[in-house]
Formats: sequence, C-alpha cells, structure tokens
Amino acid sequence: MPLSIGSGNVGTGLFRLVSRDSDGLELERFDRYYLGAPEIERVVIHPSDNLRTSWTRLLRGEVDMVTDVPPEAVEFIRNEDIQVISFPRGYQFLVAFNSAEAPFKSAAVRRALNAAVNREALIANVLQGNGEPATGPIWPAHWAYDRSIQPFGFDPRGATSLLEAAGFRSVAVDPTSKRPPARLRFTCLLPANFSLLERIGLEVQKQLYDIAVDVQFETVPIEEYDARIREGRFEAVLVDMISGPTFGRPFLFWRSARQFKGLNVFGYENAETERQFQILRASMNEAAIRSATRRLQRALLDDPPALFLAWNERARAVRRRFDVGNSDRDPLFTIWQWTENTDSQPVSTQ
Amino acid sequence: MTKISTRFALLLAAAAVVPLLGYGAVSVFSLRTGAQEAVILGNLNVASQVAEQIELYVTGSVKILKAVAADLQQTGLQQWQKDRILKNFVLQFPEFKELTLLDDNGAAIVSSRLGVPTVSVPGSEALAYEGVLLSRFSVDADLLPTAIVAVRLNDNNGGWLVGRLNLEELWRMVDRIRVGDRGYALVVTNDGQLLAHGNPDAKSRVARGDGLQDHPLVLRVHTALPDVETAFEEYADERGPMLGVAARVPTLQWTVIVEQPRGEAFAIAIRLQWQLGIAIAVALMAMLGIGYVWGYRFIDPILALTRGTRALAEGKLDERVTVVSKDEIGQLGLAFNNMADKLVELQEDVRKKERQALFGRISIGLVHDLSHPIQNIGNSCKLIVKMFDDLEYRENFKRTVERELAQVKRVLDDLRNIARPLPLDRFPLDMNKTISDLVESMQTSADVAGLTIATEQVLGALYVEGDLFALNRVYRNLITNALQATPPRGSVVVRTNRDGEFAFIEVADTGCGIPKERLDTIFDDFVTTKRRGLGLGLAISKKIVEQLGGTITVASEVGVGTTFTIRFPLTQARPTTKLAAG
Repeated sequence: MPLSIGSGNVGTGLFRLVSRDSDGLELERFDRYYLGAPEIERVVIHPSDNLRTSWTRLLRGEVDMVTDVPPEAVEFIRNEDIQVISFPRGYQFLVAFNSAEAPFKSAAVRRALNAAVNREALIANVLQGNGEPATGPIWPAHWAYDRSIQPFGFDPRGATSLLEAAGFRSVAVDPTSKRPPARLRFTCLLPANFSLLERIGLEVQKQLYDIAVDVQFETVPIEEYDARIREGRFEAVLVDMISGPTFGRPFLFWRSARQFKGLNVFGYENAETERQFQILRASMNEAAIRSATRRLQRALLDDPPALFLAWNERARAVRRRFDVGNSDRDPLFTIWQWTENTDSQPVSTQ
Repeated sequence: MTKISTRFALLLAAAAVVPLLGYGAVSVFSLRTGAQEAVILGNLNVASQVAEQIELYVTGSVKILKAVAADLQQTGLQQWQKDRILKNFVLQFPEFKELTLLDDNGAAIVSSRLGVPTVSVPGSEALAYEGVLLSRFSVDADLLPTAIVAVRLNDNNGGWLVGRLNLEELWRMVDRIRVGDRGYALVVTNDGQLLAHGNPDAKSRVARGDGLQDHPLVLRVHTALPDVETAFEEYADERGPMLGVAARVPTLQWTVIVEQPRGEAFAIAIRLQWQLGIAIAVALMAMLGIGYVWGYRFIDPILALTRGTRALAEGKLDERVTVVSKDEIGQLGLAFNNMADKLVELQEDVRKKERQALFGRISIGLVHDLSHPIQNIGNSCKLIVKMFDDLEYRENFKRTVERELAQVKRVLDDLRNIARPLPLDRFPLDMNKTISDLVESMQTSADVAGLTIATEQVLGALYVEGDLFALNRVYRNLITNALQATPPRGSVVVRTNRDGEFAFIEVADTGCGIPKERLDTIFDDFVTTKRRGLGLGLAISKKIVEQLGGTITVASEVGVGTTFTIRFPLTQARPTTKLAAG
C-alpha cells in the first residue's frame, strides 16, 4: 500500500485500494503481484477506538485479525479458534531527549541515565518478559550487529558519578513540595491512554528517582503528542519507535540534525555517529558493513542519543481458519502466503 | 436324565447366583452413589479452594490498600512523598492498576497514574467489604477485569484512597482450574455477572459482560439456597448434560462454579460400574459352569447306575458300572455290579432248568407219541409169527404196521417242520368243501369219543389261496385237539364265515377250556395243555396259517369251551379244471 493515498498512485503491492472512508479501508487482491497472487481476495480494515472493541469483534467472529495484542491479554485471547502470534519486531521503547537543549545536550547525562536503568527488571515487571534489553538504535537481529560490544549495564553508582561529573551534584528541594528533591529534573511527554507506555514510564520514573533524577510525565492527547514531537516542544518523550530491521530507521532518526533535519526531531548531533552512518552508506561489502556497524555501535554507546529501554515484541491475533505460515514473522508481512485452513473447523466462542 | 443334571447344576448355581446378584446390585448401587458423591465432593473441594483463594486474593488486596492508606494518613507526608508511595505500591503490587488519593469532593490529590486519574469513589451499588467499598466488576479498555476499591482515610483532611483492583490474577486462578479434560471453573457475582471463565472458548462472554442469572446453579445458589455455602446440580447446556458444583465466596457474595460434562465427571464411576457388572457376570458364568460340572460329576455315577439298570432290563447282563468313589454312590455301584453278577448266574440256572424241562417234555412227548406205535408194531410182530398163515391177519398186520409207521413218520415230520418249515403250494381252495370233507372223515373219531361234530357253513364257496394238505393238517390238529379236550356228550362245531375281504374258519368246542395265563404261549413250540405229547401241533398250525397269509387266534374260558379262529384273505382266483376235478 502506498504511503499516501491518492487517485494517481501506482503501486506493485499484493493488494490495491478499492475504497476508503470513515469506517475503514477495503483492499482487493492484485492478481499480477510479482510473487504470485495471494489467496485472500479481499481485505477490509476496520479501525477501532480501543482494544476492547476490536477484541470483542474478533471473539464474536466479526473480524479475522486484530493487529495488536498487549502482553497481558495474550492468554485471554488465545483459544481453539484464535491463534496469537508473537514476534520480535524492530520497535523499541525509549525515552528520546531534546538533545539540542540542556541538560540533554550533554552526552554524559544521557549515558548516566542509560546506566541508571535496570532493563531486565523493566522487561520482567512491565512487559511480562516479552522483550529484549535495548542499549542502542541498531536492530540486534541485523546480520552485521556485533554482539561482542559491551552494552550499558545497570550501574546506578556509575550513573550518579557521571551526573555529578556533569555538574549535577546537589539535590535541590522543590519549594512547592509537589516534586521530590532531585539533582536533575525533566518532564517527559507521554501519549494519553497508552497504558503500557504509562506503566513503562512509572518504572523508569521509579528507577531514575533512585539516582535523584525526577522525571515528571506530561500526558497529552496523541495528536498533541505528535505535534509537540515534530515541533521539538519537549524535554523528553517516551516513544515506541521503529528502529529496524535495517539501518534505515536509525539513520533517519539519529543522523546529524544540523545537516539533515529530516526525521531527526530530537536534535541529536554527533560527528562520529554521522561519519559512521556515511561510511555505512558507502560500504559495499560485508566486511566493510560489519566494521562500520561495529564502530557505529560504539559511537552510539559513547554518545547515546536516547535512553534506550527495550526492544519489544508484538502479538497479533488471527482466526485459526487461516494458516499464516511462518509463525516467527509478523503475519502482516506474510499475508500474501496465507491459505485457508480447511482442517480447522469453526469453533463457537459462545 | 441330562435334564436332571442340568436342573441340579442350575439349582446349585442359583443357590449362589441369587446372593451374588443381590450383592452385585448392592455393590453397583453403592459404587455408583459413592463414586458420584466422591466426584461431587472433589469438585466441591476445588470450587471451595478457588473461592478461598479468591477471597484471600481480594482480602490481601484490600489489606494492601489499607496499608497504603495507613501510610498516607496523619503522617505529615508531603505531596510528592504521597505520590511516590502510590507509584511505588502500584509498581510493587500489580494487583492495583491505579491508586489515587481523592479529597472529599472527589478531586485527585495524588495518583499513581502518569495521566489523568480514572477512579472515583464507588456509588451506592458498591459492596461494603472489610471496611472498604468494592465496586461492580468491569472489563477495561484493554480487556482486563477490574474493580474499584475505596477506603476512607482517617485523616484530618478526610478523603479517600481509591484503587483500581486488577482482577487479572483472578482470571489466571480460574484459568488454572481444570477438572478432567473439559471441566472448567467460572465466577459469578451476586447479581449474575460473569466475572471469569476458565473455558477459553467462553471468555468472550466475560468481555461482553454476559449475565448468568439463568444458569441453573446460579438460580439455585442465589435464590433457592441463599444461605448455603455449597451446592451441586445436574443440568444440560450446549455441551450436553453437565455436573455443576458451586461454592460461595461469602464476604464478596460471589459464587465459584465448577462445571464438567457429566459423562466425563462420572466416567470412572461408570467404568467401575461396568467392570463390576462384567466381573459379576463372569463370576455368574463361572459359577454356573462350575455348578454344572460339579453337579454333573455328582450325578454321573447315578446316571451310570441308571444306564446299567436299563441295560439289565434290556437283557444286557454283561453291563457293569465303573466304581470310582468309595462313598454311598460307590457302594451302590458295587452292589449293582454284584446284583448283575448274581443275575447272570440266576439266568444261567433258569436256562439250564428250562433246557432240562424242555428236553424232559420233548422226551416225554416222543415217548408218548412213539411208544404206542412201536408197541403196536411190536405186538403185531409177536402175533405174526403165530398167525402168519392167516391171510386176514397178515393183511391186518400190514395195515397196522403201515398205520403206526405213518404215525411215527408224522411225529418226525412235525419235528422237522419246526426246525425247517416245508414250502407250501398255493391253489384256490373252497374252504367249505375242504372242511366238509375233513369233518366227514373225522366223524368216526367223534362218535368213538361220544361227541357230536357238526359244520355251520356260510352260503356259497369260500375261496382262499392255500395248500390243501397243509390246511387239512391245521384243521385236523384243531379238531383233534377239540375232540380230545371235550368230555363225552360235548360238541365240536366247525364254522365258516365271510366278512368283507376275509374268510373266517372257527373250531369251537365245549371242552374244559384253557387257563387264561396259558393262552399267550399255546402257539409256542413244545407247549401243550395235554398231559402227553410234544406240543407241536398248534405251533406248526400257526406257522402254516401265517405262511399262507392268514392269522390264527384263540378265545377260551375255563369250563365253557375254546374257539380257534382262522382268518384268510379271500381270493378271486378259481381252481383250474384239473385241480378242481382232483
């Protein structure tokens, strides 16, 4: 599907748009798709206001797939009629900073915050184990990713030392008594009604407070959240950001903000990172790509552009009457290979 | 007799079968009710434990809330400290999704939420529980079950600590319950709202907020037995006959139901019932078989004795029974064999005596029949020497010798005919004429004996197929016997008659008659009613009559007389001229 919808669009995808209105989209099979026409003739996409609505429609048999299953709901949704497919994806939870402004202009501050977070605890407590610690923007499943490079470890003492070295020594008391004493305070944007992000925020807030860093969250409607990010009106923002599976996304978000504004709305600026991105772009063989990737990983650890938390997993629910093929992959990407499972008898969900 | 052994075996078996069947019926009943009660009790235990866990879970959560409230009230904490406490509790206790401190106006003072607080003090529908208010259960936007719990702060400023209780753990608790393969637990509130369902296929009912007010067990627990802690019920739903048990969560007024398809719940009981039934049937069959075999073995010597007795009765005196046991039956068998041995000896004695009697009778008869002619011939021979010159005497001598020799020859012919009957010629003979000629020839003998002899003949010729000489001999025998058995002035009548296809010839006398007990044997060989003679006359007569296709019978009354009746089939043939003339 093209990124933008218009009458003059030309595409080569497996489905093409038939109609679009406030109730959703309707797509039809493109019989001349170069990898072979999909078996599914028609796809109708219904947006839902909330998960409950979509789940109820799935459980009632009104829809065949729901694209997002929170970790807590996986066991509830899965039954003899519905399969839930979890897969690692190139998205990570992170706190992105406005690196163009103090205090996050300081690489030491960003490093300190990365060292202050216990990612394993966060994944266990909040994500129910469905995630992988994230210490940088490079997708760990990428073939060139070097796992030998030591990432950030959980080191609150080191984090405190780094902050003190960066000038955040004294713990200031808030005169209004509404905020705790802290050596560093900042406000983090959070989209309203995203319970998982809120839970992550709570955990991060608690962990950072252990090194006297007071994070205050500002929850705003999603539209305002988007707008303020685009406009750079934030100190920090908690996001679920795409960062894989290729280097394209990290490049778009973290390349030199000064030279190429683009999607780097976070003001991150690091010459070594930019140089390695450029080398990576110019690398034409495996060794060169691996070498550049290794150096890029180190540059991003030396000057982390954000507080990286966890690569997340996503789960999608699909009715079992479809055989979705490889269960390790996002079923949305294998939809052209879906076949109707004739062995599966409809099961009443009452 | 086999029937007797079968009946005996059945009797023996029945003696054990009736108690066995009674025992089986009682056992099956006891097993069934006992196993069913055990299943129901087991499921009730599961339901009760779940109810207990739910109560503990909710009670524990309420205690956490109260502990948080205690930390907040009258401690002089600053707002950020209260904020930190709430957030830390929420992170530490996932039972709570949110904790918010509200003032008496419902405005949020601090909250664990990063966004806008979503809780408020439950209204009048709330359940008062251990000093807190518990709202109605609901499913939030993320499809997670929650309930609002509020505790009043004992603070100068008043206010409420309100929490959103995450009941997801309750779901997990219920999900973990599996009774058999298809038995699940479910939790229902006091107003019939479905809180949790262990059946994955039925979870959407929770999301839809389905009510179970019409569930038979809910009706029973909530209406019929509101004060009872546990109950069970059998009912049918879309899965078929079900066994449901219920345990109440008393303080929350919720009900935990564990339901299982009846067939699965009572599968063991049903299987045991079948096994017991089969065992009883096998025992029954074995008992019948053993009873039959044992009974047959018990009866078999008696049957052998019976067979031996029957064989003896049939004259098989060499039959013996095999004696194995030394009990009364064995002794009986020995006695039987001894008796059979004795019978053989007795029979030999009887035969010996019979032979001796027969020889005696034959000897006496031969002496009687031959001594007279021999004596006559002897006497004549003595006189012929003296009177040889007398021509008349010589002629008389010649006639005497010829007559006596003929008598001797007749006796010898009789003996030969008994051993080997002569072949007879058959010609059509008129019985009236044959008998008339014979009676006329014997008239002299009757006169000498002082008797009258007469014929009474049917009109017309009475033709039968016969041998004239043989028949004459038969008639002569019968008439001679009649003349000999009849005292002077008696009479002998020879009658002929016709009845349908048969000719009847009767020889009746007014003689002494034959005792009834001897009538059956008078046609046997060497049997006679006379004091002397071989007794072959009637036996030879009977053989001749039967050789000619006729029958001979006798009727007699002692002191009145005897009548012999001969019956021959009539013939349509007639004598040829030559024979008729002869």
